[in-house]
Amino acid sequence: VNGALVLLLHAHLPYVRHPEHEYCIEENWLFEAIRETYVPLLDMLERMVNDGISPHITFSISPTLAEMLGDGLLRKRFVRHMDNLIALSEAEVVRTGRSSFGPTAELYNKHFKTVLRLYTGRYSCDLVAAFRQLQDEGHIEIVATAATHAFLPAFEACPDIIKDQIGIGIKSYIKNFGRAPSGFWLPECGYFKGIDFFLKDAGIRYFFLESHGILLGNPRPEHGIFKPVSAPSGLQVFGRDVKSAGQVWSATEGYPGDPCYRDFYRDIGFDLPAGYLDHFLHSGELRLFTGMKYYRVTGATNAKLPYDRAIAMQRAIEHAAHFRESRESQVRRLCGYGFSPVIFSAFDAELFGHWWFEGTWWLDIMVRKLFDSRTVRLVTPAECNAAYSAGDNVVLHPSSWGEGGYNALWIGERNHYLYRHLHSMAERLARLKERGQSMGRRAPLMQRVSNQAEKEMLLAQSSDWPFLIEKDRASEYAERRVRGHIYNFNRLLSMDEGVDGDISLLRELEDRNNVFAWLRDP
Amino acid sequence: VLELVMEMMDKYMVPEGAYKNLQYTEDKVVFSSGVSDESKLLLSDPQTSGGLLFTLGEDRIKALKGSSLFFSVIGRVEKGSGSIIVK
Repeated sequence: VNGALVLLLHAHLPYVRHPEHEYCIEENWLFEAIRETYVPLLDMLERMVNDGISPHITFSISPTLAEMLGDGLLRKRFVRHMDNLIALSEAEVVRTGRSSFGPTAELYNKHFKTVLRLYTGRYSCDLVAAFRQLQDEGHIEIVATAATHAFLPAFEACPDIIKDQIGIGIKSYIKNFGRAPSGFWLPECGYFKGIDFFLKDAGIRYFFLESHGILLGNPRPEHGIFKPVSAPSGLQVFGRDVKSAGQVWSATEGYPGDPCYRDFYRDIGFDLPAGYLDHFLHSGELRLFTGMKYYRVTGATNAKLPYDRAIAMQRAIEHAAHFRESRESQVRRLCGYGFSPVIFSAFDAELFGHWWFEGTWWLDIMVRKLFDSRTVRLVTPAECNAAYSAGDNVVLHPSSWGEGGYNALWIGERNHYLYRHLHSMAERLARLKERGQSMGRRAPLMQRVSNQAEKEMLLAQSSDWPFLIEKDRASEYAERRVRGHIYNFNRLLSMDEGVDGDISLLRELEDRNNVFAWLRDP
Repeated sequence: VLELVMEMMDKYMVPEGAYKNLQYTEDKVVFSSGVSDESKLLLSDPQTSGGLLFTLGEDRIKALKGSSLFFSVIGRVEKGSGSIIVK
């Protein structure tokens, strides 16, 4: 074997939990990801292990996602969601009958039932435990990430926020995975000069950057992104490969856009009468994705052809072979320059299964094909870290993996106003804590107020809100969330200042925004 | 192609101007399917050793030949579609 491939799947969703509503469409983000990505991925990993293949894939599972996967209310609601979908898919099997959509309706019906059976049976509703076990058995590596997935370059001026996002992220990791993390995923690969020193202080040994974070570094490293380099702090850094990213990720040239694959947007939730769907989804007149999609991408046309699983599966096999061949030829070329390359590929986990329906099949076939390769081997970053102790010393270049490669998506025209509030919240909370310390042991009630204010602040910092606002996708919800957390924060601080003594507000917020219950445990 | 250039390309050490040039000429150049992405970028490379490309009427070339300037005639402009085809 001449080269290594590090494949990292980053699983993250913002904290969305609304006990105040019986049904909440934004909670579907989690349910869709569980049903289409997380359960199928776990099932795939376990089947590989049973076949004697240790996949050596790397995951990052964000603290907010892990919190939601562990939440009792959301677990119950996921089961209800699946029950409803199974009932809808049963009706769809009857309705589509012998039409060209019949086999696809049956495919969904079977898929939904399998997912629910695995979720409640094998995984006992605890997906975090299933990931933990795979790591404990040495089959995957899990790296840590920031507490609520804040885009850290936006908080460069507030070291307390950076420290908390990293520190609470690591605390969450230890709680969920029972060990200290070695690697850290910077949300959106957002890097600013100096952040690696915060990671180093927190005990991290390596992290990951978008390609130009290294390629535009100073000096240019001899092997570009094909060997981990040393950051100024001494931490090891992996740079994302351009070619493999494009093959999987690119909207125009990537595999997922193949005409044979399932079209994401054409969903019965928008095609069938609202009255019929409401019976199963309880969504009233509101249109939403059901996950039941009967067409293939076909091409840049509205005249879509019916989906055909067999054809799509064949394409997934071809694309898996293509990916393996591409990596092998890449490794052979690079070996010709006198070194053994490390290719680092990273993707959002939710691409696989959710956005790209066949993605989990592709991944399954691709990993199995690579297992037989004599040229490229899948390895975890921990294995690389052990093998290459020192790389070129490089002053890294500020960067992210978002559009344009820098900060524009998270600090843009539509969302920049958020930061003056987010920065000010951190300052006010720091003053509150200082005051608490100078007063000695705080009254338990005031401690609760301070804890909840911190949670509201952390929840407001998620990179998802500025992203959704800038892209104008679910922007109303995103804006409502940030405004809501700022409002809650202000109310809580006025309680602490004795202006407002309404304890029912505290109780309500503790129940509703109940993230990180262990936050201030000793 | 100069030595080491392909190695630099394989390591993605490509100047930004190459991407800009490639984008700029998008609607003027047609690449045949066999041309690799690396070759496209290489042909769009903005780095020069100071050479200058210009067109002259044929009658002027004779006058230039008598001068001390170093130059080569590398082609002839003809009427066409306005597209460059790269095979």
